[in-house]
Amino acid sequence: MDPTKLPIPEVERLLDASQPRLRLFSGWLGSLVLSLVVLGGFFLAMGYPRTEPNSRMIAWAVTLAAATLSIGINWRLRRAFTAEQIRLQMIEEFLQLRRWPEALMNLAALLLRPMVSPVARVQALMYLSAVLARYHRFEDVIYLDDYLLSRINLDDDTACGVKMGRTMALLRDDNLLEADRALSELGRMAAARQSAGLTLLELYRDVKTGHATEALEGLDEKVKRVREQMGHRVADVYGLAARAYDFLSRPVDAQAMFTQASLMAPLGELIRRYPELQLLVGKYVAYPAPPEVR
Amino acid sequence: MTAAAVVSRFRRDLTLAWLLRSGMVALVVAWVLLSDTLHWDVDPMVAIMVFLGLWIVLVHRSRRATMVATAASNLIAAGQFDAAEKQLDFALRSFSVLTAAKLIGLHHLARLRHAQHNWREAALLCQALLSQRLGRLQPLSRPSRLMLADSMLRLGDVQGAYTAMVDLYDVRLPLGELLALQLLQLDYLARISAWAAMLHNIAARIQLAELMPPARSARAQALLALAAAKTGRTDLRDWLVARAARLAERQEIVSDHPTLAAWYV
Repeated sequence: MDPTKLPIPEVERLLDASQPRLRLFSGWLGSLVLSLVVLGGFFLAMGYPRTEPNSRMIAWAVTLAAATLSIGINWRLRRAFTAEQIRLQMIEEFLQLRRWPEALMNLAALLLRPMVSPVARVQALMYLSAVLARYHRFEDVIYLDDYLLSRINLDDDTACGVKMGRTMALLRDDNLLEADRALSELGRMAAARQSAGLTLLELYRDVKTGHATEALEGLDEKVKRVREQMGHRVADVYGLAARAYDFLSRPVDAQAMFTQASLMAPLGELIRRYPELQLLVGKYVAYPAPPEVR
Repeated sequence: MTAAAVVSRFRRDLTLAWLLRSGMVALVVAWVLLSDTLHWDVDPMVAIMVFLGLWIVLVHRSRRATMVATAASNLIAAGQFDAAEKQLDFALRSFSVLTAAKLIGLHHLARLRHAQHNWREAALLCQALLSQRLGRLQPLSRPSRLMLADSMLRLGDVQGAYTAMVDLYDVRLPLGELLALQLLQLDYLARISAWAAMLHNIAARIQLAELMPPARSARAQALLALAAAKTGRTDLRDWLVARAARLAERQEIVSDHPTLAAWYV
């Protein structure tokens, strides 16, 4: 499917529509007020201090009404919260299984109306960023990630993940100057320093800017790190290394790397991630895959 | 603490907690209903308030134990087993009026023993947990069954592993648990030499294996390669072996699996 023709709602609209609504009686203050009403009503109903029978009847009614309201609000909120969590978990699974259209459909359904939990909203927006990147909507990814980084107080690990997504979008969008700045910033973050994500970003930057020698420096270490942290994504390192060797006119090494890359991941998926690898198809031979997985 | 001692203490504490809860409710009801008949001078409202206060204190203590047990989960994930052991020891020794605190503590202790490769104790703890009515903690039964099945397979009890796994086929599992179940299923099928069944729906199995952490992914693909070898599919075997070799070392792939260890080079 042509990514530009996908019915993706505008990011700004999703950001506005998904803002959690201010809910009366749902915060701690509301709970406190309702609890006090229930407790006060209960005391009055029980005759503390001495209360007229009519007043006691009214107190019972108020107590019951407040207790029912409290239980009802909590029940509704809990149900909405659980439904939101289940949907988010489903979206995460769709992303892992690369079922992008289903992930997008569920994200749109979730974000087109006010969400219950601000934390779940941030999670949903991060998933949306990943889906937008899959559909090559890099400007939207950058806009969304900038929103997350500037408007929401993220912990270091989460901020690091968002910054990595933003940097990849900048690289894919050929905004190399800004990407280089973002990479330097990531390099200063403790959470990113030894991460496979940063290794891949730096490797891609070097390949994209024609710094093939730098890309191949410490290749074994790069392979090890990405393999240990990201498993099959080690194919990305092999694929980018093949492109670097090809750039240096070392076809034997490029072939060896290309073979490894095509063994560990489908070529189509690798080219979707790094369009630069398209140049290698036809030039080098892929590892022969069995018919079941072709 | 040995697993047997923990289980014995766990069962005793559950009984005590049930007796305490029932006793408190019975006392309050008796006080309200019989105070006039028995000429007790204390106002029933005071009795309700006293018991309510006592209940809040007990629940608070239980919640603390639950929090300590839950915090141990992060320590296990970080590989800090000694610290996790201390936390769980505290959570399981302290008296708790809520059964949830004990159940969560027991579950995480089983996880700890499993992470320590103490398969026998992990199995014992999982069995103790699964023999209880879990109520709203029912979701704990899934990871417990997976741990039990894995421990049984490592101990060589194939029938026990099947019994632990079989109930999981009827429930919708989250992806993480589905991946764990797929690896256990492959391990089990390899042990009973069901090679054709292992290769059924192979494309989906490979896709799931790719989502696993590297060592598990390598083991799953090595098991599939073994099945391919046994059914004469050399192309598939070579492809899977080459992938497994690029994900993990031999020792990680074949540990506790005699058939795989004998075959995988």
